[in-house]
Amino acid sequence: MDPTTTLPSKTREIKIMTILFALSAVLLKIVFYNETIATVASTTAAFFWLFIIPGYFVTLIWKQDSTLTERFIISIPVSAAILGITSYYLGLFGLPLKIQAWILPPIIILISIFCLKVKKVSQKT
Amino acid sequence: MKINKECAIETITLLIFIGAMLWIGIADSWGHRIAHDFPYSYLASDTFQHQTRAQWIKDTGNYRYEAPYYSGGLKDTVGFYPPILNHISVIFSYVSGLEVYDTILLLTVSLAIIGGLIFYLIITKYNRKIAMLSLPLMTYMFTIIEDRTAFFWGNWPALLGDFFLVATLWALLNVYEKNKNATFFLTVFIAGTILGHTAATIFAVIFITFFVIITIILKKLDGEQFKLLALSTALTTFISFYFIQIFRQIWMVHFPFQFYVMTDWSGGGGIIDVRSFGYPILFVLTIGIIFLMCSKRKDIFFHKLFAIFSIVAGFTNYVGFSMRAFNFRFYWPIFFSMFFGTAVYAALTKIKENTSYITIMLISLFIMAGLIKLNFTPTGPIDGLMNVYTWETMNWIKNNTPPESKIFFFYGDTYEQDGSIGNVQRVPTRVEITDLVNTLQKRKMERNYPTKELIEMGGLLAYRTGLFSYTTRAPDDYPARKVRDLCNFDYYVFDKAGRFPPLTQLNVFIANTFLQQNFTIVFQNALNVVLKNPTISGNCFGTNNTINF
Repeated sequence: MDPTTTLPSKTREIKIMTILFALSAVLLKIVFYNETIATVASTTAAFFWLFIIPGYFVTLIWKQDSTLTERFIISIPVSAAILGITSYYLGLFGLPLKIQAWILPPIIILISIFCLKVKKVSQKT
Repeated sequence: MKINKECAIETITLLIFIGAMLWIGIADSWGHRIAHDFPYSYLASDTFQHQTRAQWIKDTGNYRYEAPYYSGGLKDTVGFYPPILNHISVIFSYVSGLEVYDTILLLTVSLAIIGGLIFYLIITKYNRKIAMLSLPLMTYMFTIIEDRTAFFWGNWPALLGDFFLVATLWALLNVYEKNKNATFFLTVFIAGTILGHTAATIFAVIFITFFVIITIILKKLDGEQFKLLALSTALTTFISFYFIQIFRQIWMVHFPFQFYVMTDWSGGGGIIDVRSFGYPILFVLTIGIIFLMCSKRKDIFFHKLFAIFSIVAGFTNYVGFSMRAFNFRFYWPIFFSMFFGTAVYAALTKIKENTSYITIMLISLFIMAGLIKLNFTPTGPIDGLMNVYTWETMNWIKNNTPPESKIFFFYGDTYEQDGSIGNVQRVPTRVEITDLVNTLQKRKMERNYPTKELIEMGGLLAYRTGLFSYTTRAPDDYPARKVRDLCNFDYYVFDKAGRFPPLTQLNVFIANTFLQQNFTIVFQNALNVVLKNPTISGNCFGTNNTINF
């Protein structure tokens, strides 16, 4: 999915990710045709929230020059590994998984954005 | 917004691939539903073992300890199992609203499909069109019966380990390409193998070692790449240090490395063999291997190296890796897809030099559809071992009995794969069918009777003795199977129907005997009845302590 447009690439990627989300939900509904739309939508949203979006921001730091296809696919093992490992240790330290489920993805995203900004600043200097 | 045409074709192909794999991988067995009323399509004890552990982690919010109810009642057994699958399943359950018994299997299948896409990315570095033509062979992951069994018999951690293993390969390719950021990915993915399924780490380390040795000999490894590897090793060790101590002091004690050749794995669901692909496909794969290895391209050295490794690693059961080699073979449909794509592409280029992307897509999808049509037989919904009534009964026990209660299960089809009885979240014990058959032949049953308690001995009930130190317990001190006083339990579960009518008749006989001893029916439904014992260690079998029939 190499950008060939006049729009800024990250805005374009967000649009593409939104389209992919919609396509994924439609695909899931086709495959699981006996399931309710609400469950399909929540399953798709949960998968994107946990296993795609956090990893996507991480790959922006480390693999900005690669295609969106590659970053999209790799975001999944990145998210799974970071979430799984972090969740294990945070649980041992006493933070319940019920809370982790909602706060870990935004924390990963915020740390990634911070690292990205630091990287950009260091590249400029 | 313009989108590159090739990218659009690729995206459509990959989406269709994902849809097809989900369909044959899980949707058909799940009745094309995602949410179920009970653990669905669970076909062996191990599925319940992982599900009950994940449920325990969800209920307690952490994995400091194993559940007492499958640890012989002990409350200090340290959580010893590789934790990633359980934790992501629980988190997914919270966010999606699905039950853990659905998320854990759905994630296992989904991540295996994504593993195929990660290997697709690796192949794209070789040739993008070959990558698209590789996709059809990956469907064998769900059509080779022994591979499919892995998903429904509970080889879930092994499948997750293979998922992180293929991600590690992708990261290693980035090291080879001198991508400075490869350290991060290699670290995260190797740590994923350690905390996902530590056996996969062995294969990752072996391949990395093999890669380093060969590249040093061929002078393809320089200081920069070596630094990336060294830094990654140090970071991985740091991240995984805590769990490595658990693995070293518990797993390696219970399962020390022993060299033995293993050629049968019927207990694990059977072995995937090269012949599992069928001779025509095997012929195509052989052609593909020849074309790949004979290619004069210097930029596919990594792919050639992995081609050799992917075949050899699967046969390490002959050199002492036992069932771990069979775990590696779960991903053979993915790893061998590169050979398949190469062969098909070679054939296409003989017909036409430069086939368009859209033609490649159509050919790939056509072959995929053909292979699915040939190899996949829809089964429709498979309930599995659990059913709505037994699940209702187990939940009643969980919600309505004191936590310290001891539950006894007489004959029931679900309970022979006894991981399921952990769902009562009380210490469960059961009879075994072989003993009941002997009882029927003798026509009498004594109150001191051979029984089997559900005790997870995989970690030898290890407990913590220091910050990073653990001690295991002697298995003989906590025997799961032993003669126990059948009158010494709080609640008893009887199935009113089953595959063996003589045993269900025995159930009815015993239940009526108990009712004559003032037991009370506290719950029943169409399949199960639960009796409460009024007097622990009382005369539940009558004054002679024997039931004759």
